[in-house]
Amino acid sequence: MLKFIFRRALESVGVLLCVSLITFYLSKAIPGGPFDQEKKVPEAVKKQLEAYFGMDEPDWKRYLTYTFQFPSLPSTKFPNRRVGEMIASKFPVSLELGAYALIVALALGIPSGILASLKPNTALDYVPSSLSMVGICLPTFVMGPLLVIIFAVQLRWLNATGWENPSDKILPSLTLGFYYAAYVARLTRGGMLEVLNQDFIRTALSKGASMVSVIFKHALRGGLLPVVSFLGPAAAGLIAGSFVVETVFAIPGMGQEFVKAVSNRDITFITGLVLFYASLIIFFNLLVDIAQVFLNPKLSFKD
Amino acid sequence: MTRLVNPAKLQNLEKGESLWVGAWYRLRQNRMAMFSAAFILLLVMLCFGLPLFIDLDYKGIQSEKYFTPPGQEYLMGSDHLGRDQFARILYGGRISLLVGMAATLVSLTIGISYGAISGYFGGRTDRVMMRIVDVLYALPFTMFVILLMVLFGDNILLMFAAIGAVEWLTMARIVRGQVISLKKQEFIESCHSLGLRAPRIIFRHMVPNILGPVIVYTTLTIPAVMILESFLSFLGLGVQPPMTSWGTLIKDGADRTAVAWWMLVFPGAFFALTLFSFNFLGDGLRDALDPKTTRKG
Repeated sequence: MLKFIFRRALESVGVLLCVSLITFYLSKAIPGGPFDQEKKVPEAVKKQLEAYFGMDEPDWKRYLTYTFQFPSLPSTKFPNRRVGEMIASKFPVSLELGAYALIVALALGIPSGILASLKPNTALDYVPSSLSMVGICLPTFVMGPLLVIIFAVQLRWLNATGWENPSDKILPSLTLGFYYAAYVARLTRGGMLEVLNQDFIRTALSKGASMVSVIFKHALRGGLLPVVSFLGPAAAGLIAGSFVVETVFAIPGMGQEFVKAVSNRDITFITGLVLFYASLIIFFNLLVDIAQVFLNPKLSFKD
Repeated sequence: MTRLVNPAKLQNLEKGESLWVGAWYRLRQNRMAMFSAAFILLLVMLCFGLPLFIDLDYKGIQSEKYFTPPGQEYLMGSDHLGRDQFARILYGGRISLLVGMAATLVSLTIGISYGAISGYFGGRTDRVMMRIVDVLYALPFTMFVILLMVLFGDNILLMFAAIGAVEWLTMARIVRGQVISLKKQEFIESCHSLGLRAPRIIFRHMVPNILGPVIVYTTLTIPAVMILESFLSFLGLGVQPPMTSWGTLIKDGADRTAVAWWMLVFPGAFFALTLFSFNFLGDGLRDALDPKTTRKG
């Protein structure tokens, strides 16, 4: 087990290094620099600016500073702010949004998926299943504005923008969470159907165990495996989704910041942010992999 | 949707029909899938055919007629510049569908070749190639698409390529798995003994045999790509005006939810129905082409 964790952790470090290389060269290849303005900047000024940000150094040296010291680098657009500070000031908002969305997704998705799997092809199955199809086909950028029309414009129950009061946070979390709830419900249904058809469930039921205890003690552990493995990509997806949701609801989070940084060609901030998110995703995937082995010990022996 | 006795299977027992005939039969039985296919066909004809026959003006600005609600004059209302919303939805549909299909084509080409080569040669080649896929999987995908978009500017053709170039990973994995399982079969062995070269074996004999899962996944990739395109357009990075796509239209509508609901609801409905259809068609094709893994229950 320890050996498995160690090997996966080592792999993750390797992957992260590759990602950092790709990021570096990609952000270097973007046309236009952070110091280009409508008016042409004098060559000497540009040279000096570039020297200040270490952009005249050889590639390998730049790569090393950009990759390993990014939190302490100044932003190329706002030189008096450090990349690390900028991330620290905006990221908690995105994290909070993502966490709420994940809670919504699991709290809605798992129960409805279980319900659907108990009586397949009945109303109990069709209603959650078609609802989740709707959820998958209404991407966040349609869902969000629709919710705004209904709850903020027509009913005037909730605020359409902002991120201060608890009531501001309901619509964005629902918007982002509902999309993933749909996937979670589908995966739970599939996983549970697979497990519920197996012999050990029949055995447990024939021993006289109640359906409820069979579901919670025996079936869920296997039935939720697809959901657990989905959490890795979902974490990455939540980031993308939060870009849109932050735009729709005017939430001061990371997503808007990234799009702005890209159009500003704020190189240090772009590379820092990508690396930050990449390490987050990779770390989360690592956790998911380990959790999967705990749920299904057969996996660690398979290479 | 499911029946107790599958007539196609009974027929197969008697005559041993080909997979495709049986699949077509099973697909026709699936009403949702057929309905979806019909909708997609209709939509393609509307978007690409209708503007040829009727004069639809999608960029003419008539500022005095802004925010006209749906009615006699404008079937689906007009937008903030007095442009015909219906015409804009059709022209936007062109772009969205084109992007979806072209990017899927790019991802198909890369994914099939990559997966087939990796699976066919196996060993170290396979390990290295699949490691690369793992690395790409771990990238913060959205951020990279955004970077790529900026890198390629506002050239739509390159946008297809950029989106396709990041969407091929899953396809490569699927194809690789299929090729590995085909590799040990006798007809491939006989190809070897005939002295055929690897490219011919892969593309002439293996690829046609894995078309089933590939087709299924293709119908699921198209909506995924369309979502991605709309997502980018929504963030203002995709299609630039006066051209439009469903993502841009939804964005325009989302900014004016308080005054013109029709600007959001109509493009949103077209978009959602299209995604719905592709997903149902994909599910139906999976059930039809792969009778063994038909969803239980």
